Amino acid sequence: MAAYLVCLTADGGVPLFTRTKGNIKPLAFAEVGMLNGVQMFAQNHGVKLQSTATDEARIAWKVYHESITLIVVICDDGASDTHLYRLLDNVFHSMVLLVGLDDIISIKNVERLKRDLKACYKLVDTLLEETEFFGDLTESVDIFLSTENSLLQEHLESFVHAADSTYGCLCVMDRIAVATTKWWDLTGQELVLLSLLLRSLPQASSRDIAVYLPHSSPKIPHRLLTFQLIHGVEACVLCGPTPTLDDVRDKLLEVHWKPALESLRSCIRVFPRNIPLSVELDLGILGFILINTDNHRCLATMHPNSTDEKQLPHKILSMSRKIGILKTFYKTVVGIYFAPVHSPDKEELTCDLQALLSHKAKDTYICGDDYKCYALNDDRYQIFVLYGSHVPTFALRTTTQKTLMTLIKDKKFDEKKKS
Amino acid sequence: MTHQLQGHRYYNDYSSSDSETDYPPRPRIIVGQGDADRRWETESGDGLEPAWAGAVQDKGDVFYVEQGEEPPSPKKVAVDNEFNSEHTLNGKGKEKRGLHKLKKIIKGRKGDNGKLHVSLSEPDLKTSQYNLVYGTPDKNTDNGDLREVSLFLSPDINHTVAQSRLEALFGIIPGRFSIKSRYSPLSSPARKNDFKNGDKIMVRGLLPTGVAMKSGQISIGDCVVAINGIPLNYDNFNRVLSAIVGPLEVKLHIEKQVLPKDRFILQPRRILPNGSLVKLVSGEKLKEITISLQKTPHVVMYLSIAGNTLETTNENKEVLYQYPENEASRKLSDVQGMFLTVSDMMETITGTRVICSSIVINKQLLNVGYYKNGTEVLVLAVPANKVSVSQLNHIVSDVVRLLILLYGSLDNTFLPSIYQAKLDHLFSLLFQRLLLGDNVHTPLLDSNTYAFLDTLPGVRWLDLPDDVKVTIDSSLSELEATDFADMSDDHYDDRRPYVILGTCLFHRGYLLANHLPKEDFIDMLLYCRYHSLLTLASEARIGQLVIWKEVYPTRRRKRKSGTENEGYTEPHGRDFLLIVGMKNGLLCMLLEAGGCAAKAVGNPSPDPFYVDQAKATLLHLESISIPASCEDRLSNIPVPAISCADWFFSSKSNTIESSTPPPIPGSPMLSRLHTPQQKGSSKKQQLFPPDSGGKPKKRSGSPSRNVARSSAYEVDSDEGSDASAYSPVNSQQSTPVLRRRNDDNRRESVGSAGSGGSSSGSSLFKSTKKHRIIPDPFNMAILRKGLNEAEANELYTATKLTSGADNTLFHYVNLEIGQGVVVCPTHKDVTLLGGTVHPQLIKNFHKCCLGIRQVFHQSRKPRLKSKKTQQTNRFDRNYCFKVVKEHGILMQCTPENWNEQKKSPPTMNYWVVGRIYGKPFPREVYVCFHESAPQNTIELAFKLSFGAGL
Repeated sequence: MAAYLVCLTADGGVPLFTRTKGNIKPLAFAEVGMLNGVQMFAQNHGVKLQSTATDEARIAWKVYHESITLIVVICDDGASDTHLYRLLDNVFHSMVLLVGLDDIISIKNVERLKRDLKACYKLVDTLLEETEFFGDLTESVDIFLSTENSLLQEHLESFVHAADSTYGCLCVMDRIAVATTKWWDLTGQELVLLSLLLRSLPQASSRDIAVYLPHSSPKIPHRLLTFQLIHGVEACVLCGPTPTLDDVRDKLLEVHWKPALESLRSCIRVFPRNIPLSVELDLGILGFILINTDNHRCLATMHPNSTDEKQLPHKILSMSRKIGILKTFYKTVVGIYFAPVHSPDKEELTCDLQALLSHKAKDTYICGDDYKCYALNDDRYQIFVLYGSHVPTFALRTTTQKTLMTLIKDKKFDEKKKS
Repeated sequence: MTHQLQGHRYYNDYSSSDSETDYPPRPRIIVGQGDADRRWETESGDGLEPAWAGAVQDKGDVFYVEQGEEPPSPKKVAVDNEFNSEHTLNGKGKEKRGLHKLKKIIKGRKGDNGKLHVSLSEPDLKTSQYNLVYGTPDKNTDNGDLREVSLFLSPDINHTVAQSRLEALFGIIPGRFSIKSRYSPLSSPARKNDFKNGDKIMVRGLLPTGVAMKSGQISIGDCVVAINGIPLNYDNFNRVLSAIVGPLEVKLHIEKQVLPKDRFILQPRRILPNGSLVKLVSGEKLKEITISLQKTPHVVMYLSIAGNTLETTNENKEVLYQYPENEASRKLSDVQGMFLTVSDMMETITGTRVICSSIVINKQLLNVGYYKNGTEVLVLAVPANKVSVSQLNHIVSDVVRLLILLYGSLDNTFLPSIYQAKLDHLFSLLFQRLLLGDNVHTPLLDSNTYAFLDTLPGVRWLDLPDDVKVTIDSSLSELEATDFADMSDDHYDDRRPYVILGTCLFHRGYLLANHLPKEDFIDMLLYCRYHSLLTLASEARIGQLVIWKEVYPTRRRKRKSGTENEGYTEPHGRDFLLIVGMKNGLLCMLLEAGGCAAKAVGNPSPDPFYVDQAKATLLHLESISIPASCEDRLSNIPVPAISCADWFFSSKSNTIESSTPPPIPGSPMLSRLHTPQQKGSSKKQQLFPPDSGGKPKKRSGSPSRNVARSSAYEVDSDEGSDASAYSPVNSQQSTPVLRRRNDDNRRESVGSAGSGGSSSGSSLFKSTKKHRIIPDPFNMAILRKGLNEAEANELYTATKLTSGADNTLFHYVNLEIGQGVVVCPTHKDVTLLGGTVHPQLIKNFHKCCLGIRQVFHQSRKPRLKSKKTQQTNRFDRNYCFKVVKEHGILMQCTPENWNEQKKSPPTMNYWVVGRIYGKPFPREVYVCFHESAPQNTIELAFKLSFGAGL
């Protein structure tokens, strides 16, 4: 997937940075100018140019706070414009997350800002990449379910409390296993970007990063402390000026996490299934995304079955194909038939089909050559299931309903909802 | 010969030959060079031109639409009966006569019909063209209604030779109104004295092109009393009016004629309400559309990139064409530089062609479609809430195809501004269709509900009984053969001017028969669709329609590039499109000059002979009551039977335990599935006797087209017997068929259902009767007599497609891509079902189908071959779906106006499912059914293909 991302100052059109992804030549300076110029020209005439589609690519423009212009050029994947704008929002808020809103709104020194923005290249690149994570797509953070979760919750709470904070979470393989209630109170976009940030950073035993929360505190930075407990498991705390990283690492880490080491080890064994082995799923299911639109959680797995897939009667889809199909399915359905999960500051006018329909879409499915997809839109849940082509079409609905019930039955997915 | 069928003169005693050349708006023929003699030879003898001859434009094109009559309303029938013979003469009669008989009549009447005399004193009722309206004095006339009419005159110096100045200036044919011979029309004696000097001027007739006629405020029988305050009478008017030389506005004082109650006056036919539609389609009301769309931003532009930069956008040189040029498009034409840059930039940056943009103007989202043609670009911008992106993409490609069809290439279309008026016309129709769909001004035009159908490469097809189809096909084949005695090559020792490549016939916008190859047919369809001809034919009765245009079919361009059909070379001919319409019928022909026909010279205008032959074919079809059988079919029950969504709402307390398939509680429909179905086909034959009216007249059509479709329905499944009885139902039923039984019938059917095994039926029925929320409209509304129960029952079961307790099928669309044919329930079927939720459901269905179809085509879009030279700058589509075969959406709806606050409204779920088939016959099926429909019947529904296949 090839993509360009261009960031410029809105008034002067000075390029702040350009990211290029895929096997394409970088944009020439004139092309950047043209991309920006056409949008500015339209703006001067009272016309807002939002997006353009070509045979194989799409372009979206967006100006933030009359200060920053973001332009993305990306391969057409059949998605509605909603997803394009969401990508731009994510990029902008990544910049806010690391640089702070003040510096972005009122640009005093362009060169300095350019330097500062270098910090978020990694994060922006992650957004443009195709990953096995669905958080940036669904605006719901990827989570990790394990039977140890309730135990780990206790450890986390005491650890966070000791660190003099209320915000904390435990990440297993870059997915949130448990988190404090305050952490869950963050917006979906913040949750997603924080875990994206962790993923984009190089491995380290501990980190201390200044972050601005795009919605909760875009102007005052907080410190995000991370500690690697075992390989693949990190504990994160969001705190003020105190305590120092050394204090926490030296005084609190061992005290609170040493007893939980066994739980952590057994927890990580659930990967890559991401759901406890006790939860049994239909053999026809090749993968699914389950989204709780209320509390911005998203549970996804491409390895639903413990048994070796080669023994199953259907054609094997590669991992990237599975993810690709599910992502495309999500983009085809959400914003067109299902209402998307919006971030708070959405401002584009879109005219999606879903707004024009007088009845609510509940389910939808797609049958391809070697796969079948079924999506279900409940009040709080959206589930997108990928099936093998051997599963009969008429069974899709009941199986999907059953799967949804199984997953939300034991409240694993749901437990912190009440608080 | 048949030119007399038009009947469009609004004035009575216009004598045809003497002063014809004096009137500029009078039909005038621009004769092509050289072959004028031959062209008009069929007309020789009477010396009259066809009505459309006046519409011949400089390229020989004709776009002539004449408004027809409404079928007589019950009030008028008594009067109209007197004039039946006259009506037949005008081509509007209801009698089904043979063509020859008709022709004979026309011939016979021609002599005395040349001049129509109508005078007030001796109203000659027999020859009058006018409907009689009893002169009922309205309130105003009692007071001696004296009105002022303001008219704007622009006298043309050249035409002062006219008989009278009144005629030349106003288009009023004056008549002497002798006061002494009449009762006094004036109630005020004082006023009467003012005009003692001469006889008054009575309006004896109105020229259709005159300002008086256009104002609509002057009618025959009125008296012209004064102009700008100067009294006028029969003796002085020529003198007074000769003072008018320049264009100016004058006030005419008109006295409304007062007649006693027992007398009639002759009034010209009123402009019928649907006349506006004719005017819209023919482009007469262009201005009004533009005005009513003033607030809606929309534009179509053809821009040239040459030398363009953002700075020079204020010069209009780059805009080769723009419509409309008003407030609505100002903002958009201001940013034409943006469109140009976007279309250019996209190609350099992404290496692919630009398709569409979305922009916001004044907080309104607009979709912009592009078509890049070399250095030029066609831009079409419309509000997004009216036209979705995928619809717009279809429209842009369709428009481009149509323009190339009409003018050879896009450059040809826009570079010379000679086509400006025609393009304005075309695009005004397009915008009107897209943006004014539900507007009051054009209530008759298709609303956007059916936008989906308009994006399909096919047209709705009316499924007729086989014998009717044979008749139609043979009539068309006969026309195509051009085997007319006096037309044959040896008759005149002359090559025939055109070869008919193919024809297709529409009735009310439904395709009846098509003898054109697919590409040509789609071309023809696009022409009709984008000129709103199909809508026109379905909503209004056309008096006469003649369209002639040289076209550049897509087929030819494709042949040029491709190397298919080796050994065969297309003759280097020129193609012409001829569309002739009468009433609700449209006959489209594609003619070829060159090849084995004579070479076309210059820009030939339509050959009246071909026009007449086409008209004769239409008349012939009418004489064998083809339109009548189409109407029968349209008013007949929908086959396969479809349900109304409103019937499926029920309160949950009604739920009844039952076996599979689960019956829908509260549904008014009852299962007849388990009753014995094995009625012999012989009985069905009796039930549906073969149509006696539509015997194939001469040769039979090509047999391949008339394969009995019933065989396709002998599906080997449990429901096969249901389906196999499908096709005969369409035959001409003189008795309209009961759609659903009334209560008695139902009780009866419950009994039989019980015996057949569905034991839950009885209790189901009882409970539903009590608790039904929305009454079944068929209980009262569509109750028809004259059909015994057994027949009704059998018919019902025969047409039900789905199995289970109820008919769960709501709607369907079946597109045969190879045939260019769409099969779906007719508008009438949908309106017949009524309901409040159902129309919404249909709307949603069409919108969903648009989305489903987009997914299908996105997944099948062929990958563009990457150019080796610029592989670095490429974006490849990243569409993981690969091939999508089926796509379905489950929608949930609740009844409107739910009053009970305590209970949550009942919900009803329905599926919209689309499926695409590739080989061997590509087709797409979209079905809408209730969620309870069992899977096997859904499969069946897809396989049945709803009777398509010509």
